[in-house]
Amino acid sequence: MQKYILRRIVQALPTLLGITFIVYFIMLLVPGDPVSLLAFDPTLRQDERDRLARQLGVNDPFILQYLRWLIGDDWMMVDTNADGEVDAWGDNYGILRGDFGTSFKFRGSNPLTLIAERLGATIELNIAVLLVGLTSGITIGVLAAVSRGGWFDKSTRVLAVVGDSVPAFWLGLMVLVFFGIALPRDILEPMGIGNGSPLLPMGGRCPPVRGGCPPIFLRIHFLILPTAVSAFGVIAVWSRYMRASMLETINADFMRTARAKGLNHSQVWFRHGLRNAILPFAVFLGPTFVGLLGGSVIIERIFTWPGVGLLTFDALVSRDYPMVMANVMIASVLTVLGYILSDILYAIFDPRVRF
Amino acid sequence: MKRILIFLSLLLLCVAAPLSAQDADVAPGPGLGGIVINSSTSGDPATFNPLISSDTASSNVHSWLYPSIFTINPHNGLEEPNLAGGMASGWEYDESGTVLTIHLREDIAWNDGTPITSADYLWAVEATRSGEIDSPRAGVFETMADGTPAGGKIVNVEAPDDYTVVVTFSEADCISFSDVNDITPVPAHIFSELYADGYAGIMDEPRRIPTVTFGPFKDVEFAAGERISLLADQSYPDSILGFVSPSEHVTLQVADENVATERFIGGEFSILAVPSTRQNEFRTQEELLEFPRFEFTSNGFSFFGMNHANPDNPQPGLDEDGNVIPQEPHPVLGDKLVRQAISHAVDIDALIEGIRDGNGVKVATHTIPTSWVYNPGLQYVYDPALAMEKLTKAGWIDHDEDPETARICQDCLFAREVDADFNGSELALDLHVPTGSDTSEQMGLFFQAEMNKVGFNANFEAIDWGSAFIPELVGQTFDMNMLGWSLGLPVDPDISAFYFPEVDVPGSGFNFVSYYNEELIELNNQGRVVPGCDTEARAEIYERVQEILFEDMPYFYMYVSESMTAVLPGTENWNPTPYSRTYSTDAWVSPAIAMP
Repeated sequence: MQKYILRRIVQALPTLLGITFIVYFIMLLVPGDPVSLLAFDPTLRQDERDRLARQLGVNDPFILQYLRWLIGDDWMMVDTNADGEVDAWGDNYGILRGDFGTSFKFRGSNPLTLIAERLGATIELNIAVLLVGLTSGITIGVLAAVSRGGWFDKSTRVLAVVGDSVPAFWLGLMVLVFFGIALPRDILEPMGIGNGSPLLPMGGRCPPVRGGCPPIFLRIHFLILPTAVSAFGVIAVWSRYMRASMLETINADFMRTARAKGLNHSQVWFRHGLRNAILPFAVFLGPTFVGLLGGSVIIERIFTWPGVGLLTFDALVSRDYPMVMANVMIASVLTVLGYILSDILYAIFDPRVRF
Repeated sequence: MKRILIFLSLLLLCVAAPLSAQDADVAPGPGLGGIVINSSTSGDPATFNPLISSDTASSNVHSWLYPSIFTINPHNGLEEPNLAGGMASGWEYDESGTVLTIHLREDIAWNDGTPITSADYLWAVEATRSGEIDSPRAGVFETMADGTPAGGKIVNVEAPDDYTVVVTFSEADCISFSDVNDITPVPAHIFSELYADGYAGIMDEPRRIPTVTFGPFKDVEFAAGERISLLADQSYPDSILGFVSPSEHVTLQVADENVATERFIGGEFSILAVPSTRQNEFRTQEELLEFPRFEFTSNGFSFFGMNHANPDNPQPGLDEDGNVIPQEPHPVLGDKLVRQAISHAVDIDALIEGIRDGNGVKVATHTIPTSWVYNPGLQYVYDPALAMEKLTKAGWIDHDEDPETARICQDCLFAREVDADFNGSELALDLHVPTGSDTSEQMGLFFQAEMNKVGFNANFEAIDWGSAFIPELVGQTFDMNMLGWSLGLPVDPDISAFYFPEVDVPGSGFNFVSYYNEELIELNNQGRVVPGCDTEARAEIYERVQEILFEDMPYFYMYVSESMTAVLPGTENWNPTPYSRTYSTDAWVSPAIAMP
């Protein structure tokens, strides 16, 4: 196993390098340049815009820009005062030596710092979505399979279609208006809860006023709406996968054997059926979690969740190349690790699998 | 089951506990005016250092924390001495109009007690001019500290004493007055210690939290992607009531304006700039009528830029020696008669009423109703028959006697001056707006329909801002693109940033319509050197400037937005003006915010 993991990691290195080259190339091919977007201001003179372009190095040839990002520029003379003349050795070390450069938009800020500021919120929300989505999805899927053809099965089919087709931005706005405005605010007052405020916060991750962010168990109500809206689609998809997988397992020989042994229904379904039906999901788990780390632009936008998704989206829109590439690097590494994790989980869950 | 019940009980407690812990009602007094919460779509500030900031989010924060040399009077939009937050107690020019002496107030201090003096401004000037920091404001100086040309007009800044600043300009210029204010004074006694090793250190810590400030609020608490909280600073000497009423000022990041509107209605924000598409709800819906609102004409205008030059061959306005390069005309829009015909073909009143719910004031030049030079007499006349007459006169004929099919060129300008083979070509052009706004798309479709009624073949498309709209706009490869300019305060009628050949640079310049008119340039240059920058004398010159722009139509000027700001019911001491809705924030008494 250890050799296998090591081999996979070594194999991943050229893949990662290839990804960065292709993404950098595509990014520079996209029409629109950072200076036009950063300095779309008529009060800035032409020479000021030229100066900004030189400072950012965006007028250099593609290969030079890529090399500077990859291996730094401390091996070459650069124009430090943006006057059009090279005057000193560069001081960037490049991504291979852990230097992610500086953001174009957030001048002087390290992209990794900016991402790290928001990663906690993204992980927090996505763990909640994964927990709610998977546990609900798997449970609903199993119960639908158990009651195949019954009213529960039929209603979960409706749920799946709705969950998969209702756009998150619409659903998000609807629940926001419902819980924030439409729902009577005194609904829980008989229970001694609330004093005229919305039942659930309409956005944010923490209380909006000074005092930092309290521990998660004191602000779990901020998680409820974004998690519910985000998990709705996950539940819809995973419940159908689970139902199909469970129904496939039902007809397996070992299930017949279990029944023949006289085990009761719950033992047959949950001890033997579920454990085997859930196996294919191990393959998805790693990449799914990694995918969720990328954040969700729509959920973050509607619920003002301070995650990585909006930061990445803004970086793409404003052509903030160092920010985009830092995100690409992190996503690429995590994706590779996610697939390796999947393989490991598969080996753990299925004793027949050996590497 | 027991475990589930325990979990559910804990969950309910978690929800219930914060619900119970809310603000009580507030009363006036130092720090007793409640918490002011507003929303911002500008994203996180790039920096808390005013010397290197260039984004709106950063400027919004440091406007609460630092003084400026001149301050805008919120009641008339003009720079005046002795106003709250401003350092100047007076100023005068010498006879040449190139030396500006600014006298500073002696009654203001940073919140650590250190007087604010000319040294604070001078430190900011030297840091900006050093070239060691990436300051977008270095361009106000003629040269950098090392002699490198910087392109601006400020030659020198001196401080003969603690309360006098003398600024020398390379030439008399009314516009350069505002350049002085581009440099924000910083506490020199703190910054000189922090950056004793050189100004470059500023770039290493763009988000350093300022410890010594001057303003109604202080003590930044920043949560990325979430909020910026400031606390009341009771040492602020310019507060309206003699104390700062709110205890805290919070700006929450809300990327979506509809979400911000719903959260405001839900009571989570104190103040809202109401989106134009939601304004009528606040005027008509019973449950929203209780929200105090202020409506005003904003200081910006929307327009369709009309490319005067051939989009297949974009050229710069000037050659290397500074001579004007004659450009091929745009096949359709190069002719003034065609541009004027479009102004008669489109019913802007109907557009404002039908698409913008009446939220707009029609304009026909670059000046806006709140400007001291605005001429309300200049208005486009909606007259489709006149539009068709002008098109015929311009050589675009209705060959099939069906006004709604595209006219064709018969000795039109392009055929006469560039290529005779152009005769027989259709009167066709592209109308583009940026994606992301339903209102803009509706306006584009409206223009298309109106223009096609008089014989155009106008093709409307909404295109992506970053990857398509901006590249074709600054690349000068468009026909008609819709855009809006937001004008800073004070609003000045100078047009050099938009219609001078120097800024007709394919790829980056803002004269993207490639328009210039010698008389206009001459008049504008005269308007900038009027002795004492007397507004009456300048207004006379800019009257003629407006007439030329109205006649030549570099843009189809459309409207100035009617804006609306609303606050929570019960907010006290909110005194909005067209020039500022928030200048009295330090006096507000804000009702309890709904905080679940």
